[in-house]
Amino acid sequence: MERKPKAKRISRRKFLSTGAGVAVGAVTGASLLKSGAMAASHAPVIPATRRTPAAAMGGLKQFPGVTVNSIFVSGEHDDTLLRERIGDVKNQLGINLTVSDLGAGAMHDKIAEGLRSGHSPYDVSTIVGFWLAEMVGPGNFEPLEPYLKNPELTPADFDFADFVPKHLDYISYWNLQEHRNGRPGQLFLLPGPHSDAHMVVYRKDLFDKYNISAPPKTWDEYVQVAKKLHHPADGIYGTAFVAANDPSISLSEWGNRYVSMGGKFYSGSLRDKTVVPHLDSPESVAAIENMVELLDYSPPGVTSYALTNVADAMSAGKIGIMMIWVTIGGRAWAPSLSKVADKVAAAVPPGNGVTIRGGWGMGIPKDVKNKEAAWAVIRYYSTKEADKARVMNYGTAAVRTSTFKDPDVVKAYPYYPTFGKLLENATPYPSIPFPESWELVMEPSKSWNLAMAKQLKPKEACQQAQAAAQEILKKGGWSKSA
Amino acid sequence: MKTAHPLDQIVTYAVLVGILVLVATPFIFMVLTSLKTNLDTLEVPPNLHIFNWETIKSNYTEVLRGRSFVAYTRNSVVIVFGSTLIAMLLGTPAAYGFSRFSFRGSSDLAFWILSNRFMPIIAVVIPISRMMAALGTLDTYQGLIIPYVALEIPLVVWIMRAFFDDISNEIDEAAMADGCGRWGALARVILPLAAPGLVTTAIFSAIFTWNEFLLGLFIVTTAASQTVPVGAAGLLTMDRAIEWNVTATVGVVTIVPVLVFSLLVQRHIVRGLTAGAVK
Amino acid sequence: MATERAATTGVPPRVASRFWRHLDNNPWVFVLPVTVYLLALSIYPLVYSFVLSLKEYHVDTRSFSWVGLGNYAAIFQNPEFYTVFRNTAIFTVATVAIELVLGMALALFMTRRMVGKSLLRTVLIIPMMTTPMVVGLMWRFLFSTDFGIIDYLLRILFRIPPVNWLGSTPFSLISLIITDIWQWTPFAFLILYAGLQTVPDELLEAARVDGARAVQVFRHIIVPLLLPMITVVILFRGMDSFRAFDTVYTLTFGGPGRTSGTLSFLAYLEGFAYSHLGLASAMSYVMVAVIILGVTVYRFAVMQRIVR
Repeated sequence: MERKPKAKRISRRKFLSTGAGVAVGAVTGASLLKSGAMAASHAPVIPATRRTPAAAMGGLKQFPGVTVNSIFVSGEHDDTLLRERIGDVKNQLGINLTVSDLGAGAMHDKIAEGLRSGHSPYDVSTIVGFWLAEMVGPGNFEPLEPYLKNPELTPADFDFADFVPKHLDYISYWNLQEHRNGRPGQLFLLPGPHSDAHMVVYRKDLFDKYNISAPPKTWDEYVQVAKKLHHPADGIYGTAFVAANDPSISLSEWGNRYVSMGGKFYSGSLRDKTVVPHLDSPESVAAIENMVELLDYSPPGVTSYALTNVADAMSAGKIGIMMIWVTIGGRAWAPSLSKVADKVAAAVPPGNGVTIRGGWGMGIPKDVKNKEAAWAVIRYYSTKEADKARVMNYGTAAVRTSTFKDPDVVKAYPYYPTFGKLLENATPYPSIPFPESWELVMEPSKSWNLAMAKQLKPKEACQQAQAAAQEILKKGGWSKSA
Repeated sequence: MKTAHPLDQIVTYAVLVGILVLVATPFIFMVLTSLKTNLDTLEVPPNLHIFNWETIKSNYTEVLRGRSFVAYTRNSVVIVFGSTLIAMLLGTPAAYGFSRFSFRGSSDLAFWILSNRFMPIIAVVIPISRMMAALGTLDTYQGLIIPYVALEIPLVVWIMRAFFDDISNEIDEAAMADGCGRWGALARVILPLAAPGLVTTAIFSAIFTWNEFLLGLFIVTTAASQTVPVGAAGLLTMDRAIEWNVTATVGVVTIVPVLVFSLLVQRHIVRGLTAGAVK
Repeated sequence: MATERAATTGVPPRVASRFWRHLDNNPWVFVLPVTVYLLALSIYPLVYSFVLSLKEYHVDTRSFSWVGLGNYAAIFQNPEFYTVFRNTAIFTVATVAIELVLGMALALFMTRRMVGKSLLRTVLIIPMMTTPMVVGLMWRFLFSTDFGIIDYLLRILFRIPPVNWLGSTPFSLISLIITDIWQWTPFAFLILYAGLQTVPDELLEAARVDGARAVQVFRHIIVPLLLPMITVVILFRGMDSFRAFDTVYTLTFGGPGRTSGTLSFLAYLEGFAYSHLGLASAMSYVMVAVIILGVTVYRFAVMQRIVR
């Protein structure tokens, strides 16, 4: 089958079409570039003459022309306030600030690779409790006390003592010799942008309707309450919780039940390498059994529920009670995000009042070139005013005691007094001292999820989780003499 | 050409509509979700509160301005366009070479080229990003274009070779008999005939690099060079409360340049195909 | 022309023209650029990742220690590896086979005369070009038992009891397969359709009109003509399905347990979540070995049959 090549005519046509394509591409590219340049820039251009002179700043050191890159986790509004104030940072400190946000997983990977290769991409790196042992523990971060005490870098009214003491012990201090967080130790991170703990959120109106007098005090009562609230025919399920193969099934569900029942995650000392895990203890089995019982009073899809689905279920008015992080649970009170904003109330979770705490700290990797400029940004974002603004404007969780006591905050967020109480007693997730802390969260999550999917009995799931934990600790060298 | 049976026509259009529905429904759904408030997205069956201009404006402003998606799109367009162009320039002659010549080791070489795509990206992300760091191209367009060309070359070579294989050798020989030379035959005669293949290959090359995430995450840091998938990842984190309407808006915003691109390219596909259909 | 060149360079015309003609007709000139480019970019990563697979990384001391084949041994002694391998195999075979068949059916369908072809082609590109994370979240919402439209329609239209698409075995793996088919069948379609353009109309007419001979026309004429295209679809979709990660991460997170986990997901967990860099690298090499095996089998079983 012959095709006569119409050589000359086609090649001209091809040239024209290719040319047209390139031209269109160039025009599109140029217009995107222009609008991109306009939309992407947040900082208004401030002429040098209008920059406030250093004297008016109370003698704080300036960093004209220095660029500082910062990173925050997405979805928490940690970065929103700072993004808005990029111009102000330039005004007050001369710094060109960039604010990025990523999901926790991607953020972890990028920061970790930066620390390994010695080229940290972010001068201001936010760290969550789980990464402390892995990132701060090996001595990758710059001790902050010298910067805190330097009057050129930190004004006198900074009021370091105003930070919630337990949060400082959780995230800010790390003891390099004893492999643990808390004081006595060195200051590596400033608390922020938010703290966290777990609280129970319940529907006051449904409690009245079904004659439930008070929030449950024990986990067995929690099941009873869920049962009373469970009316699927009317579109209301008792409760929802994270039953998916998701880290939060360990962090929030099993974790809270376990510590509130008095369970111990491990015994022994890290320094002496005599650690023994206790994931098959009676409390652990009780925790999983409690969760399995709740399956009957939860929506049918609950084994695929992550934190967002639990929060959605409450906001959509589908469940009567839930236990969740304060920062996420708070959304139930926001009229723009929740159908039941005026019907919810907060309570301390069942058990001994101990819940899992969370939250972040901001620090400076040691390989950063301009550490003082990085400190300036961290300090700027950690003032009393900044903490309150974060909470008032974006509903984040406070890190300063003064913010908790502020009447405006209490008025806007009715659950804040409960939150303050929770924060006093909350404990970090027990695997935090280990560099393998995240693995110690995720491997048991697999077993808990299999128990929720009824593919394992609670006791079997605990044994599987215990075996996994033993393996991890042995490989890490923490159980040598056990 | 026989005239089509009326029943035949009906079946044809029914199937056409069916396919369109199956493919497009998730998107229609996504567009509708992007027009709602967060509360409305949680209703089952879905409601149609999609006509509130304030809501729409707020969703889209948050994504486009508050989250620099215009910048991300600009970056992605430049990076994908650049890497696809270079990969096509390098790979098309290679595909032609594999198609027309059978030289010793050609089959092995072709498979070696393919094998560059075997390695899961997670294994090579770190060494590649360190190579780009050594070249000083971290956080720049080139830093991503260079590795993306390497990712696209196997695709270009293999797809274009398939297209060249379907064009008879006799055409080359006729062109060369007219005094063209090999490269001349390729440029003036074979390429125009392979136009649908060129377009298809370019589309696929672009698609694979448009969606690439891991290298983008590690090589680029600031919004000045960040690509769309990395920018979108920030919004798509399961461990906090997702705002589905904003997520849907992100989805819509990332599709629009794709739509524009494919609409532009449609005309080329049609023109190329009708040219090739002259028998 | 050759004589002019010779006049300036001083080389005799017959030698000069033979040289350029030789260069013009030399296959290596065509393939050298890509070969050099790929070599330059692949040597360091390959060596680095291979050496890494023989070591293990210690987070607290930021150092590497030599473990030889220890990582590989650990992989094969891990029962979870076999579960995940089986999932990945099922996923790959199911997606590639279904996408190939659907793509071919779509391509054949599109050879009919009808209005709206370019609309269909535009719409079909969109699933492939959507950011995988967005696809994952979109389908997560759609598949949601309590908030999603799919289960709602199944309940209302067919009175099927609620199915836990994302959180139960085996539906979690099925959801992943459905999502992949939705996203990548257009790939098979576009390639096969472009290939069909080169098949003469008369053959396609015969296939459509004369039902009895259609299958034979298809088997003996169309398939052999399209074999290069089919090969591309099988090889590229096979490679990519085997390494599937994004949808697993967003839709099911490998759950329940690891019953919908794929090899790439496992490697990601070990390498990035747990910082077992050496183990993740070793896993990647095991995956590469399997892919090489698959491609080689395909190469010798199928491709040698093509008469050149």
